[in-house]
Parts: sequence; structure tokens; C-alpha cells
Amino acid sequence: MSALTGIEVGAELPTQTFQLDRTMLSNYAKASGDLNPIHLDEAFAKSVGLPNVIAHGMLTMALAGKALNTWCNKEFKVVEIFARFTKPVIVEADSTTALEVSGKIGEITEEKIRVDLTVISNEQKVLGMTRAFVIKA
Amino acid sequence: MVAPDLVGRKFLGTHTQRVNQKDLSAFATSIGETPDTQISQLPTFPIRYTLNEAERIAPELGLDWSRVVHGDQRFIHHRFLKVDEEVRADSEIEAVKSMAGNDILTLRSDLFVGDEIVTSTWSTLVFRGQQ
Repeated sequence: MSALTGIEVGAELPTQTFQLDRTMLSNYAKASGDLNPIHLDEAFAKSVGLPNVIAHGMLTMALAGKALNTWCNKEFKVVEIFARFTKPVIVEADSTTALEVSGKIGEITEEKIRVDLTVISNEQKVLGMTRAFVIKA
Repeated sequence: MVAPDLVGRKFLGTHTQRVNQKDLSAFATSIGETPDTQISQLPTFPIRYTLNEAERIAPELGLDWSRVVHGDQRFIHHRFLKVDEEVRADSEIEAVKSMAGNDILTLRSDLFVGDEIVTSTWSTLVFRGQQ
């Protein structure tokens, strides 16, 4: 059953944790067509003043979408999603970076449910104002 | 610095891109979903068809794509794209501002299949000034 069935405003959805690594960044780069070297090449990332390779903001947002998809469990679908990219997610070589996605029900109308998401990595919010509207599938 | 009179400028898509199962599966598996995941379960998948339009448009505005940082992103799905559809992106500049040496552009791109609008997207793109 979907985590959203019969839900009420203010209810919290089960937190999901994803692990990012360089392989995921490389696969996402190819799959999305965003081959910016700041996501792929450590020397390049550092040359433009970043501490290390950073994940695509859109990858972080796609993982927020994945969390929504799990909560929806085919009974609901996401018709709108917004995110502000507030902090970079740094992904070092040969290690993984955890991304925690939690959700809270912000509003329920006849047609839509608004889910407000919190997306955290290294104890910092990496996405801001992240919200989605879902409807019955 | 980009000119404020760019607001309202439209860029009609010059070509269509075919939504194919291989690209969809690659996108799904890159984020740990199964290859048979549907487009309706991947709310950000259409970025595949809009980001390259933004990349094409930027140089026409005198903006250096290698200095871009993504500020924010919105998707509204009027319906969901389907595999084998030919999709075209029509774009419009909705806002422009310059702040602390950066040029900030809000670009709306609507994905069409024929005359039907399927997904609307808004990207705020920050072009960092030379330090």
C-alpha cells in the first residue's frame, strides 16, 4: 500500500537514504546528457574552486523523485516537483556520500496532495523549498 | 552582463528528439530504479530533453555554458511522455537579473508532442562571473 493512502496534513513519511558514489555520477551524467566535468573530473572540479567532485543538482533532485516514487507505490503519481539547489553534495573518490530524503504532508485538496521534502547530506540541507504535488494514479 | 530586454525572448525548438526505452532505462538504473520503470515514476526524466536546449541557447545570449550552476528547477506534468514519442522543446526567457557579477536566467521550456504540451519546465541558471 502507498504511504500516502489515507494520509493527513502534517504526517511524516518514512525517511529514505541513498548512497551516491562516482559511478552513480558517471552513469547519471551519461543518462541525463549533463557531462559537465565538475561532476566527473576531480582535477577539473578543484581547478574551478570546488572542494572536490560534486553531484549534479539534478541527480539529487532525481533521488528526491525516487523517494516520492517509493512513497507513491504506483497508487499516486508526481505531477509537479520543485527544488532549489542550495548546497553542493561532495562525492569523494572511492567512498560513498549518503543522502537522506524525508517528507511531510503540507496540504491536501480534492485533487492533490502536497509533499514537502527535506533532503540532507552531511548534516546540511542540500535542496531547499523542495515540494511535490501528487495525484491518484 | 545580459540585457534585461531578453525577457520574453522565445526560442522555438529546431528539432525533435525521440523518447526511447534505452534512454529511459539508463536514466532509471542510474538512480537505482529498475530498467522497466515508467516515465510517470521518474518526475525529473524530461530534463534529458530540456537541458540540451538550454545549452544550445546560452551561447546565443553571450553566456558561457562552462560557468553555469543550476539554481532551481521545476517540472509540471500535464501528462507523461511516452516511449517512441517525438518531443520538441520550445523555450522562453522569463526572467533575467545580474547579482554580484553573476547573470541569473530563468528559462521556461515546454515539451511538445505535435501541438500538445506535455511537460512544462522552469530552470534557473546562474552564470558565474569571472573571479
